[in-house]
Amino acid sequence: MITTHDDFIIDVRSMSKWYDKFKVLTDINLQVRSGEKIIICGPSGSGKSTFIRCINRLEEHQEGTIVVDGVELNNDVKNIDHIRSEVGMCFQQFNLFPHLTVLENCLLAPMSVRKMSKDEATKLAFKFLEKVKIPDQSEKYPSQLSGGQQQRVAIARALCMQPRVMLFDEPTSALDPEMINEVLETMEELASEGMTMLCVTHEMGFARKVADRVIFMDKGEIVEDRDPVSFFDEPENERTLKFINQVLQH
Amino acid sequence: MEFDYMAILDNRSILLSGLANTILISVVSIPAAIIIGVFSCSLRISNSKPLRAIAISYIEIMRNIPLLIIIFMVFYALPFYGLRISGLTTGFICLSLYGGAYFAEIFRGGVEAVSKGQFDASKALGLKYSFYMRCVIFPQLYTYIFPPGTNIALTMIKESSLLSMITVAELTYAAHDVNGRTFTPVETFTTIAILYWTISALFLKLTSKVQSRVDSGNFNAAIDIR
Amino acid sequence: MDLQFDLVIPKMGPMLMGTLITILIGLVACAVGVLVGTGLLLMRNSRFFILRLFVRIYGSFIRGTPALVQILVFYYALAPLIGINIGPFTAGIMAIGFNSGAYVAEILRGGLSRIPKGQWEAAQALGIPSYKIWFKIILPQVYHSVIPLLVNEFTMVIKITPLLSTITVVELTRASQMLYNETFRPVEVLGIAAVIYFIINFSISQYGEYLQRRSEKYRL
Repeated sequence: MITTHDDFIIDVRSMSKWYDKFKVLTDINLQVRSGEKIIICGPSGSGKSTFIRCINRLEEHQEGTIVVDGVELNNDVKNIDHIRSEVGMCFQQFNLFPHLTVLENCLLAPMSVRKMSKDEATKLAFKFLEKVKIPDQSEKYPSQLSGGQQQRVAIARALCMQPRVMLFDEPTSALDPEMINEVLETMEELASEGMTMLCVTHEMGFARKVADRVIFMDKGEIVEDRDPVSFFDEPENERTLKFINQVLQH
Repeated sequence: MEFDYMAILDNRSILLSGLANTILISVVSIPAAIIIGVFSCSLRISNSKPLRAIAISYIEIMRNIPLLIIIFMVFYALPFYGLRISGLTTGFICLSLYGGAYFAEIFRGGVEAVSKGQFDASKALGLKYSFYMRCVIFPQLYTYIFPPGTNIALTMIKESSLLSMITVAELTYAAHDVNGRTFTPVETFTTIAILYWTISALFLKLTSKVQSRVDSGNFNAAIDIR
Repeated sequence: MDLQFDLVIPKMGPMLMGTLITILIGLVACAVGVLVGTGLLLMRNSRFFILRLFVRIYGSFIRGTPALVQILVFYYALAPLIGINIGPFTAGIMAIGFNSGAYVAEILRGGLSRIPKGQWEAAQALGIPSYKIWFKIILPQVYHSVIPLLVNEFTMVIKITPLLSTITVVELTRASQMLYNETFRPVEVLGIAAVIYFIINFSISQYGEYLQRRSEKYRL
């Protein structure tokens, strides 16, 4: 398949990464079109989190290229800043800023990076807080919210930068079971609006529902990259089969 | 501005004897403070309420009143009651009492930090009191009290400089003396700062050596028992 | 010999003034200490080796020399050497502030080590520039977490203010000395000074411990 880089919002080619001498990612290739929803799964230690953290340079890759929205990720700080402002991210541990209220969490980046006025940013923040269904909690501090609410605030905070891509790093892993659904519903709604999403998760029901492609990683490599129906029903690789059986048992 | 080496070199005997006095004061006061600390710590954690009250008031008085005021009080008050003691003795007394209060708090912190479960587990294993104190409790206690204890000892070395105010001829007093003779404040005060800095560095080096030796000693002791 | 407080108490005015000066010096020196400590913390985390080395030497010097000697060096040597003519009052405050700064830097370092890495990552992922991450996200949390320790540092600063009496700053200790030189009642005067210092320090350190307990109770 030969295409120009411009067709893809994310274009990763032969990317490899080492921690010192230990190779954690080997020859990763992934092309994502605008609006695609991609689920990444795999056993722990397979490098899936490391991979999506490379996409906004929370981790540095050593070989190959990563192009996001037409801009290549390299040591150029300008490029990194540009990509980070176009790519939103949600973390397993939410990582809300505990000394700021929910609203202030949402205002900080738009005002300091996008240079929005306070009124403008507030309007935007409430738009997204309404989308994640917690506008009435805006004056509370993160510690006063439940885990599910905190993760939804984290999603709203990322959306306030109006990113073109959203990365999710196991967004429901730290949540109590009864709160997982409220977060997944928010993410489904986001997906239905056409947001480009890369999501590391073990929620296979969610994967079936929203994914355009499911990627299976093991030992730092992409083992499978297919549509969800054939991924779940007729996986090609033995390792994938084993993993699916393990996950579905739970 | 010229750095007047000669002022320092010509008066080196004054500075050196001051240095010797500073070291002497430290060498005597620090062990005394540790003994006072052990004693008042055992009062502080005893079951008797009056003993605890005595220990607490001693510790809090020492920790909340500046050392200089304590030194002045002892220096001026004792003669009023007919007790004539030298500045040097006053210095020993004050510094030891002052350090003792801090050591007491450190020892108490250590005893409280070793969890009760360690005692329970030792007893449950049927270990003898003397054995588990030596091989289980003390090594742990030790890691809690050695680093802050080192700090207090270092503080005591440094605080001995306050004795210059009651004319004890230690290093800082020697500097005032030399400065009075030669009017070279820059040279003398910089020199003693470097001397103190060196003493502290040597002291820290010594304690870290002692600590690593004791640590490995514990390890060997544990092997010997088998 | 009997204690005769009635000879001393009517003349206590300057001592009360000295108490206020002591507290004022404590507050200003603490503020200087927090500024210096923050600077040292930032330098310690900078990517320039020379700045990190400076922080190590600075910390080693402050911890390795007596505060009294630092005050003497600052007042008699450093200030004239770099050609600034400041009075003993300013020199004293600066010397204590620089001393406190090294200890505040250690306190802040402890606080910083408890900030989860995720805070940096979340802020970086939002594209916030690093100086803003420091000042808007990391430092406010660090300060908040070490407030009890900073309160405690204030008592430490109060305890070294008597040293300024050597460079003729008329704070509580110097005022006391002047009073007992006048009345020849050192025991009474120093006793009163000791009580004043005790009240200041004890109440502040109790407040610090209260804050510490409260912060432990409400920790996430």
